[in-house]
Amino acid sequence: MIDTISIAGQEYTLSPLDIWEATELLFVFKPYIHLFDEKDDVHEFVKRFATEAQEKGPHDPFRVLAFMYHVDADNLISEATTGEEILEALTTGLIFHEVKTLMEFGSLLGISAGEEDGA
Amino acid sequence: MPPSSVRVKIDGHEVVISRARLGLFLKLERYSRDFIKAAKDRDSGACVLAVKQYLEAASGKELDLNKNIWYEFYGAFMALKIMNMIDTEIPMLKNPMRSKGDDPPWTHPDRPFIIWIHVIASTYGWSLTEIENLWPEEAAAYVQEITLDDQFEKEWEHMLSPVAHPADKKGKDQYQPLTRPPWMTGSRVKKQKLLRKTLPVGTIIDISGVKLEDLDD
Repeated sequence: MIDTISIAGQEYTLSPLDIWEATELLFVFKPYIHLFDEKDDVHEFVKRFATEAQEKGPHDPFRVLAFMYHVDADNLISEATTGEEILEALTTGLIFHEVKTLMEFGSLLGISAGEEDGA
Repeated sequence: MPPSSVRVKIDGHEVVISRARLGLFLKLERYSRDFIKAAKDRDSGACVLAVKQYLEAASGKELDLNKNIWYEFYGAFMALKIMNMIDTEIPMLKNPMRSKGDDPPWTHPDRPFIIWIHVIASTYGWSLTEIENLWPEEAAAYVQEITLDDQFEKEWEHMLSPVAHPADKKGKDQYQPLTRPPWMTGSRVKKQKLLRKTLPVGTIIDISGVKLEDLDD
């Protein structure tokens, strides 16, 4: 499994998320969960995510990358960063972190947030 | 029917956890509410803390967060939530009353759960240990019966009161019965329309406790 990626000439390495990073990542993904279809491959989801993020939150793909590659989101944004690199980094990261599991737990947060209070 | 026990991974070790009886169930619901609030507030620290407290209460062990992989951590939470769902046909729980407006000034985070104990103890005189040892479904059935008795008694008192018998222009009695809660009248929860895009995707594990047959067509 690929665990390094080059963005704007800089090499970044993937490593497992800790519980807090995963929770933050789930929050970032929450508005995009509906775009995930487990029948598609990850590339398709990443394309849909990047397109919708242009309207909803242009910074969101960088926030996702920042959590997955354990770096500051601002470090990933430079004039040399290409869209192709971002898509590739997202795809590689989501495969590494098992996108299906991420989306399942994202759904859990989504369901729970809509639950009525009370025992 | 939910399973009576589940095998989950906590602190890197597999443990078998049994279904919670009322005392523990109420404690778990408190942490579950904390989680829901934290998720609404997008507070990841509070989310993690609520799940940690939930798992610690359910397993009876102190957790070291650094020994837990995130998907095992949330996986254990999800599995335990599903196992501890109240599995019942009790109308009071299928069509509960929702409070309107702000909470009263005497409320506190544990109050929704203290009420269960208070209602059962003040009616049957059982000890806290006895009540906490009930299955949540049993406790819910008792609470419904107690609430029914209370409602019928209030209806009887209301019927005898002049407030219930206003007169029309001709002086004829226009009896106004006491309003019953929706779960006693058989009225159904209004179907709430949701946008398709807001629905979860992938393998849906419903932890809301709402069954398909409870929804309108």
